Amino acid sequence: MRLVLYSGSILMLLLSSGCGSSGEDKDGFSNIAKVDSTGKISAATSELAGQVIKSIPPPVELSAIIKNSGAEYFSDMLNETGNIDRYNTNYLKAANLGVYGADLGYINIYNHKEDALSFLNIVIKLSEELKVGQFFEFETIKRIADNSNNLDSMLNITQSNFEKMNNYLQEQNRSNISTYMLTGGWIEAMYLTTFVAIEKNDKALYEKIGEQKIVLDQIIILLDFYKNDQNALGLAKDLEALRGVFKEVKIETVYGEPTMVEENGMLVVKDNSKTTISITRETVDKIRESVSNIRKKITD
Amino acid sequence: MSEEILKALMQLFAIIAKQDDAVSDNERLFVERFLKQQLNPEMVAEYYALFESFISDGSQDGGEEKKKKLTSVKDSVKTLSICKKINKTLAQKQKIIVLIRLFELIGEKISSEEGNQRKEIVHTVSDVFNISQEEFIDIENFCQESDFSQFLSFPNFLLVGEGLEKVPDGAKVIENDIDQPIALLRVPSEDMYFLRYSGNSTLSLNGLPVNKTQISLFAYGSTLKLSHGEPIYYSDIHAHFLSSQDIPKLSFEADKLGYKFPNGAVGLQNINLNEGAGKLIAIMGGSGAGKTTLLNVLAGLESPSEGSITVNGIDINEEKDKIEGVIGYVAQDDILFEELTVFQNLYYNAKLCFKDYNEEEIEKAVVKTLKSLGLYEIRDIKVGNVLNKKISGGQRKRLNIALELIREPVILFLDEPTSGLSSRDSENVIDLLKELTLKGKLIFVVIHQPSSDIYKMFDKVVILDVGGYQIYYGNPVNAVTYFKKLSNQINADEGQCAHCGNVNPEQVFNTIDAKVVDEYGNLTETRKVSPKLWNNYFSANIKLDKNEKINEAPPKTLNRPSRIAQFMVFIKRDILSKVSNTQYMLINLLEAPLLGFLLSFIIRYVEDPKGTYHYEQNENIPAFIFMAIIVALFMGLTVSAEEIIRDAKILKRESFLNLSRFSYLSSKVVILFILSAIQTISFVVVGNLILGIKGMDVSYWLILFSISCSANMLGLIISSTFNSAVTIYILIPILLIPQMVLCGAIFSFDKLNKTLSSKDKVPLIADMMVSRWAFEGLAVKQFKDNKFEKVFYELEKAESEADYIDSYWAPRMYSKLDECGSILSKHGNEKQLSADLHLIKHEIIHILSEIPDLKLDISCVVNKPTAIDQNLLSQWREKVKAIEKYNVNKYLQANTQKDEILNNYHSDEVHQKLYEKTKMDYYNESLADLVKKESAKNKILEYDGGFLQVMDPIFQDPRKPSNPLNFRTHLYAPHKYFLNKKIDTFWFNLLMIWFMTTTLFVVLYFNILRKLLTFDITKKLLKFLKK
Repeated sequence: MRLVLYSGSILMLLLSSGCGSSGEDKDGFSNIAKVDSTGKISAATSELAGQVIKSIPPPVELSAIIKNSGAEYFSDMLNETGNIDRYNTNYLKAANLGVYGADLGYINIYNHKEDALSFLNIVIKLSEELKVGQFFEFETIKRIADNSNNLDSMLNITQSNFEKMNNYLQEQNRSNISTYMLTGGWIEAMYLTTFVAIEKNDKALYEKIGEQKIVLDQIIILLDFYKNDQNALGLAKDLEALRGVFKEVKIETVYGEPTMVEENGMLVVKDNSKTTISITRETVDKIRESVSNIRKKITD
Repeated sequence: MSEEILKALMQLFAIIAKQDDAVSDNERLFVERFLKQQLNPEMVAEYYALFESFISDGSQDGGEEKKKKLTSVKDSVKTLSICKKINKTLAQKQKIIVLIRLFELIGEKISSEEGNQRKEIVHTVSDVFNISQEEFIDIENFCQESDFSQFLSFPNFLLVGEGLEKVPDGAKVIENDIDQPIALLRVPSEDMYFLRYSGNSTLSLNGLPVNKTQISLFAYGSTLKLSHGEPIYYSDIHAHFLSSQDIPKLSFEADKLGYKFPNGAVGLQNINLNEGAGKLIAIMGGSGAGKTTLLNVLAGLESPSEGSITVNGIDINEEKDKIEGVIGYVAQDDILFEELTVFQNLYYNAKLCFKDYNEEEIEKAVVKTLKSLGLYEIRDIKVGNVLNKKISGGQRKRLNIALELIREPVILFLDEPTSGLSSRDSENVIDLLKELTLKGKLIFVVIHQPSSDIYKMFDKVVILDVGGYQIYYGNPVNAVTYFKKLSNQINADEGQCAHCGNVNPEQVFNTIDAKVVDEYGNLTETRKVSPKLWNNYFSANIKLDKNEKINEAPPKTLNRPSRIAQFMVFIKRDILSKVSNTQYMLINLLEAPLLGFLLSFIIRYVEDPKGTYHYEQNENIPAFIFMAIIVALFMGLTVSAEEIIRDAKILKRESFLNLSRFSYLSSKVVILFILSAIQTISFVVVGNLILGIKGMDVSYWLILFSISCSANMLGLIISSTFNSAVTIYILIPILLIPQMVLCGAIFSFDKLNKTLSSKDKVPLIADMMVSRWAFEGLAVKQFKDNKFEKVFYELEKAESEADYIDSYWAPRMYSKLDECGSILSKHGNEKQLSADLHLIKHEIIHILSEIPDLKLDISCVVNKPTAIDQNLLSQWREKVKAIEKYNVNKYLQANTQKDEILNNYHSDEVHQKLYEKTKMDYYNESLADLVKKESAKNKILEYDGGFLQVMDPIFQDPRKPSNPLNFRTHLYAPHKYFLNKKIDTFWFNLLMIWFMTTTLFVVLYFNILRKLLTFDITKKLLKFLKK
């Protein structure tokens, strides 16, 4: 009988301790989750945002230039695939989808099959989590990879896919996602380019970097649409700082009369305007540093 | 008799004999005769010399009056010291014999002064021997009175003679035409009888002539043969002294008993018995003659196929309740609790028999029984088993008998109580039974090869022959002559050895079994007299006495306690016997934590060899849940599987007590449940600690405990159904493997044999497995209700629901609509068209019913359309679009809300850390993959005229069933419907397990499985035999 009593009391003790541990929330984990929002989406986006997005070139373009500069393939530069588990907000997911997408473009251009596969998986996973998986279908991306020799068609496919996705997100009032993706992609491309440019001390690359001043302006305009989003605000702030660095870049356009030239038996109008970009290695270095900081905030 | 005692006796004799100075010739003669009886001739001389020396010792200084007195004082002191010495070595019975011998020595001289002195010495002896005054006077009278008619007024006397007049409350009388009466004295304290006869007729006591000058001991089982009339048996004499109150009125009749075994073989034929109270009956026969069968049929354990058995007119098979507690049965096997002490065995048994006794009375009864069986000294020794002997075989046997004796049933059956016992132990056991019959019990004993002494103790013997024939029924000694006579042997009248009085029961069997000798003198297999012929002789020669009709109910000795009291006794007895088995307790209590440690330690997987362990990334968590369930089932089954079968023999015996099966089973169940609770709790604590499963201990324990309980029940069922422990252990895998296979963890339910699996629900056969309910319950609980997921579950559920509609359902619907459109325009397959339309219609209606918020006019879908055309299709398409749009919004809403929460967690470093840590500690990826069915290739399936959601079962609400009793759903559904109520899966599954456990208890209680099996098997056997 005593045994029954003993075992009974031990049981109760264990049970109560078990209950205690499951019931308590000492660290206030669930309290943090309390938000008073009802999940209403701010319909602040406009047609304009869509227009701006369309005008921004895809990051793959930059990757192509890197390869043309004769730089070697640096897999260490790329964002680590293991980081994906950390990206759980939509902002992080979207921005890093951009980052990984840019990485994938870079890998593709260098035709690195092994890395391509793991990055592909990452891209698909993130896109699925963002519910835009249908635009990143395995087949499509495969086609991009296969087309790596033909840069134009690759750009084409990427661009058209991105546009489709953008439209779709816009339809769903989620164009902030495409903005984050775009920004992420751009930052990653800039990160890679500035790195290579400094490494190679390639003047052509310097100029290309300088050109991005215009893209940056556009991105900042874009982010302005989502300024009630803390993430966008933070990002915009950082990009503003970057813009400060870009002030050192001088872009001068010398206007020339357009002329008509016959080409292959057809008359073509030729723009004779010339744009000169003056940028110093120091500026590029500053840009690299700034970009690298922003990237770190996104990827880490 | 030891040397010392003999010496002491010689001294005593000498002291008495020399009292009147001269030792008479008579006295010398007496001493000599006495010594001759005890010793061989040389020794006689030696002791006689001793006697003489003692006499001369005392008489040296005799002569003067003063000295005489001094001597008498001296003698008294001497006497005292001698008697004290004797006291230490002789049993009370022997002391009484010594006293009688002393009286014999004195003879009939009582008048003289010397006589008085002697008498005084004898009196002192009697005092020191603790013989009561009344008995002393009786003995004195018996030894010294020559006129036997004086005895008539004393109640402890019995006289056999002619024309003796009975005195009320006086001596008992047996009529016989003997010349002078025979006197018998009873010494009640020791239940001894002495015989005195001084007539001229030849009497033989146990085959030996009675010495007329001496008082003879009339021992147990003695037979006194007179020149005329029936012999007088010990039991006859004893019966006279038992007061009519002591002797229960009993009439036991077996009338034309026949018994057939289940396989049709004849076990017994035409057995007739008539017995009353106070008889010890032996059932004998060669092996296979049906002795045990007869015993079992007589005891009511087996129903006879013909004839009836009545006790006081009550048929024991028809009116079992009236006969309850009247019959006791001692099987040949041990029915002891090995782990309990001798005392405890008897104590708990007594507790079950006597409701009205308080603790003290029960202990008293137990002690009394133990003492009467000579078990008192070993009362605190554990019984142990046959291999690990703690008490001797004879003690075991006696304890087995004690279990029945303590409640003193009026009719007692014993199956070979002497088998495996030494002859001394055997004699003790039968002696004990004989004593009981003297108290009026009727005892039947199956006995094999009894010794002469034992054989003679029986009042009657029933002899069976091969084929279940009754071939003898009557006095055991007469059996020898009966068979000798029938087979025309010489000396047929001599039942026992004329010199030693031994009876050799083997003679009987040799006669019965005698084989025909062929012409070469070799024995053949053919018997001289067939069993049938012996039976014919029996019918012709032996007539049964008619029992007097008794109509009063047989006395009951059973006072059964209430069910609750029984339950408590069962529990105490079982716990005590388990706890005292240290090995059993240790293994049972250490098994669980050890397994928990082994299992969790082995599967504590860390992906990165350099990294630290995180619960989140342990891919083995689903496997752990599965294994935990199997371990719980296994422990539950093995701990219970032997429970009832181990008690089978005890239960058989206790069936005479008609104890509550419910109480018995409940006690088993309660003990096993407690054990299971302890086992599972230790398993969970150890396992969860090592694997870092946090906050789930109670849930794990509840589920594991519950299935362990149901396994206990299953184990009890097989334990009460099958006959041997081996069968049971063979059965364990048969019971466990389906539980493993159909638990849902190893084999996916939608990848089973087509006839079993159903795509939309868990297969019915799996629904019958407790393991499946346990696994689902734990997996769902662990995923859904952990600290981390709890925050997101509802939002993720909304996301998943909306996502399913948008990403999978709507595209499928569109393609169906397209298909319909193309069939319409091309006039294609009409059948396909109508099926598709039906599906679309069904799906729209169904999905809308799940979204009460979305008010959509679906008259064009519900109503029968006027025409099936492209227009209708586009109308339907609109509806699908609307549903899709609604869900896009729903998704975004949930997603945004979730994102906000996540952003909160990412707002600063501390929150970020907390978020990551909580996820690592509470959220397991492989478990999430499992319950989300991430591995499924198709997220949606077309099935049974509709679409079936395959993805995210954990987020998918089951469809509300039309039948409120239908609880079946897909695996990992977050909740279930039952009786129109939405019940959380964990609790529903727990209830389900307990429902099954309860059902199993009902099966156990009514022993349904056993009944089913035996019924079926016997039927099949009969069919087979008929063929």
